[in-house]
Amino acid sequence: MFVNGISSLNAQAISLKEDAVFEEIQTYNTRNLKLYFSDFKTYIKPSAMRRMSSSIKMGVVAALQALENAKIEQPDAIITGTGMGCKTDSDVFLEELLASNEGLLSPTKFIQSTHNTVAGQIALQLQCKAYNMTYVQGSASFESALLDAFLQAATAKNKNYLVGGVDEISTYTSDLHVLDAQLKEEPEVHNLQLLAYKSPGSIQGEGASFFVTSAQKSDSCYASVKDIQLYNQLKEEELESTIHSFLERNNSTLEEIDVVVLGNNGDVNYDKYYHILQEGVFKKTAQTYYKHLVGEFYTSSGFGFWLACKTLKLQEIPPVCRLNECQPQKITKILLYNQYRGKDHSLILLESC
Amino acid sequence: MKSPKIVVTGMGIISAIGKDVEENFSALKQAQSGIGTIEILDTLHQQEFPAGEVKWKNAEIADFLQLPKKHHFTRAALLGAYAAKQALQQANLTSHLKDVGFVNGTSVGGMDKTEQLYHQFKDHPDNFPFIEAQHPGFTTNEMANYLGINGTVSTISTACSSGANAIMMGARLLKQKRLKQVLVGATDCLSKFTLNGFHSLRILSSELCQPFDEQRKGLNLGEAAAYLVLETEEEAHKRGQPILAYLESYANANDAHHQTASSATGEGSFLAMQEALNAAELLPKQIDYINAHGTATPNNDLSEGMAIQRLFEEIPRVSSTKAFTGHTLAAAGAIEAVYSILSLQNQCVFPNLNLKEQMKDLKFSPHTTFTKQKVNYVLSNSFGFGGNCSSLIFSKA
Repeated sequence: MFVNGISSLNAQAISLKEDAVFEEIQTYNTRNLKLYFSDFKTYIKPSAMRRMSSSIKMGVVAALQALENAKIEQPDAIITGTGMGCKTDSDVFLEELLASNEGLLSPTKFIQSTHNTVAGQIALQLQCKAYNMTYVQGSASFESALLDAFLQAATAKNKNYLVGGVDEISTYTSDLHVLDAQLKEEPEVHNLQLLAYKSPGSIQGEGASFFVTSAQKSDSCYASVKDIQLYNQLKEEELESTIHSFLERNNSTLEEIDVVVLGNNGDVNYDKYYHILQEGVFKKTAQTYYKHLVGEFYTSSGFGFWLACKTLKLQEIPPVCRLNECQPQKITKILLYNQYRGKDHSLILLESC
Repeated sequence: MKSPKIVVTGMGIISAIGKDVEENFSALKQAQSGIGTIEILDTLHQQEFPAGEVKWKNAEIADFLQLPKKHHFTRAALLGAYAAKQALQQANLTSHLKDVGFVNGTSVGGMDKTEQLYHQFKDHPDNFPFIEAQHPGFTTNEMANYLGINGTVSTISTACSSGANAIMMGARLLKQKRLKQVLVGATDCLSKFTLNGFHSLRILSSELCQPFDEQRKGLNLGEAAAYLVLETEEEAHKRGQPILAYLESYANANDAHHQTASSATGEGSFLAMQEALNAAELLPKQIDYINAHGTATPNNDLSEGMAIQRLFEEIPRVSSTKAFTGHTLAAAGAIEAVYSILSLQNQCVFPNLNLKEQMKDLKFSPHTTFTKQKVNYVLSNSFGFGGNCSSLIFSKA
C-alpha cells in the first residue's frame, strides 16, 4: 500500500512546503503542548465551524490537506483512530451531568461525545457516503486504522483510503492524568529536554495526522507501507525476537533498516522498551524520536508516521529528531515502533517508493 | 484468487433476556421481553425509563469469572469477558491462543467507572488504575488479558454499529491470513452518561418501546455483550470444528446527512444493505429474514423502513428484537448477529414485540410472532450516530 498524501497538525509549525519539514521548531516549557495551527477558516466555513470541537476542526483540516496533497477529491473510505475522541465535550457533558445531579442537559456535547464524531463530520463535509470506520485502541488506534486500510488495499486496486489519527487535550481531566502518572508531576517541562527528566509520566499533546493511501502509487507517493502489526502485550524480553520475526515475515533484515522511529516519551517507567532497542539490535542504526516535539497522546504515533514519510521523501532526518549520530547513506527502509505504558505495541515497516 | 469463506464456530451472549445463547433463544421464542425497571444502575431515572438491564451485579459476575479481589474490570469488561468465554469455549479455543485475534466494539467503554469515580479519584489511590478506563481500549485490554489473547487486539467505536463493524474487521483479518481465528463482537453497559445523553436528545421512551409502530415514542436502552468466533471454512474443517453459520458478506456506508439523525430516505442504510447483497451476489428476494436495527425512535424506523422498501420489491419478514433487549448500543450489532444465526440454526424468525399500529408511511409491518420457516439468508442491520450504517448477511451452515 502506498502513501500518496500526508498532513499533520500538532504543536509544531509544520511546513506546507514539499521540501521542508518544520518552519521553526516550537519550544515549550509546560506539560501541555497545544495545537500550533490556527488557520481553520481557510478550510472550514465559519457557519460550519461554530459548533465544531477542536478534534473535529483538526481532523477535518488534516483530512482536507491530505486529500489536497494527494490530489484526490473523494476518498473511497474514511478510517480514523482516536484514543479519546472529542474528549473535552465528553468531559463537559459528564461534569454537567454530575453537577446537576442528572438534570435535563443540552444534547450538543453528548452528540459530539461519540468517538466516531470526527469520521462522521469528515463524511459530512465531503458528502462522502463511503466506508466509514473509527478505531479506539489506545496507542494502537491510528495503527488499527492504517491496518484496516492495508487489509482493504490488498484486494482493491484503485481505491483511495483516507486514514488518520486525532486526539485533543482536555484540561478537565489533565489533573487525573497526573494522579496516575501518565503526566509528569513537574508543571514546567522543557519539551526539547524531555528525555532528560528521569521521572514518571510524559507531557501531553494534541493533533491530527491524516494520509491518503492506495494500492496504486501516485506521482506524489511518499512511502510504501509493507506491513503493520499490533501486539497488545509484549514482554521486554520478547521485543527483539518479535522484531526479528516481523522483519523476517517481510523478507527484511535488521541490517536493512536505515532508520528506526521510536516512541520515547520520557516516562522513566516505560521508555525501557525503547532503550532495549537503542542499546540492542538498533545500536548501529539511525534512531529518531518525536514525542518531545508534539507531546504524548494516543494518536501521536500518527505524527511519527508522517515524519517517517517525510524522511523517506526528503532522504534526510530532521536533526531535532535524532537520538544518535548514525547517518545512513541512503534511506530506503524505516521501522516504526511504539507502545504506551507497556501496552498496545505496534510495528510498521515503510519503504521508499 | 477466490476469497476464503468465513464461518462462525462459536458464540456467546449475555443480555437482559438471558445469560447464554439458549436462554436468549428461549426468551425470543416465548416472546418474553427483558425490559423493565432499572435496579442496578444508580440513577435518578430508575423509575422513569425502563431498560434492558442485566440483573446481575458486578461482584457476582466477577465471582463467576474468578477474578482476583483487586481487579480493574469495568462493567462492560465483565459482561464482555463473560460472553466471550462462552464463544471461545464453544469454538474449542481455551488455550494456545497465539493465532487468535480480538476485535471488540464498545461505545462508552469504561464510562461507568469514570462517572462513579470522577470526583473521587484524588483521595482513593486504589482507584487510580481506573483513570485509564476513560479510553475504550482499556476495557478491551482487561478482557484480552483475561482471555489470554495478546497479539492483534483492537477496538471499534462507531456508536451503535460498533458490533457489526467489529465482525467486519475480523473477517478481513482472516481473509488476509493474519490470524487463524478471531473473536469479534461488542459490549456496552448501562451508564448515567448514556441514559442522560439519550434523554437530552429526547429519544428515550418512558414506556416499553414499540419498533416500527405508528405511535412509537422512542427507545429503551439496554446493556449486553455478545461475541462470535470467526475462522475460515478450511480452518474449521481442519480442526473438525462444527460450523454454526456462514458470514456471507458485509458492508459499511455513511449516511453523510447529520451527526445524529438519519436521512428521511435512509440513504446510508440503503447503501449498506445494497452493498452487502452485491458482495454476496444475492438478489433481494433471496433474503428470508431481516433483523432490523429498529430502535423505535421516530427517525430510525422511518428511515430504515424507507430504505428496506426501496431495496426490496417483495419485503421478507422483518423484525426488530430491540423490544426484548433494549437498544444495547455498540453491542446491538453483536447480539443481533447471534439472533440472526439462531434464526438460521432453528429455521425461524423472531417476533417484533409491542406492535399495535402499522406505520402510515410504510407499506409493510414487522413480523409479530415466533414463526418456523425456511431461512437460508438473514440480513442484520446496525446503524449509529455519525451516519454509520452497517449490514451483515449470514447464511445457513
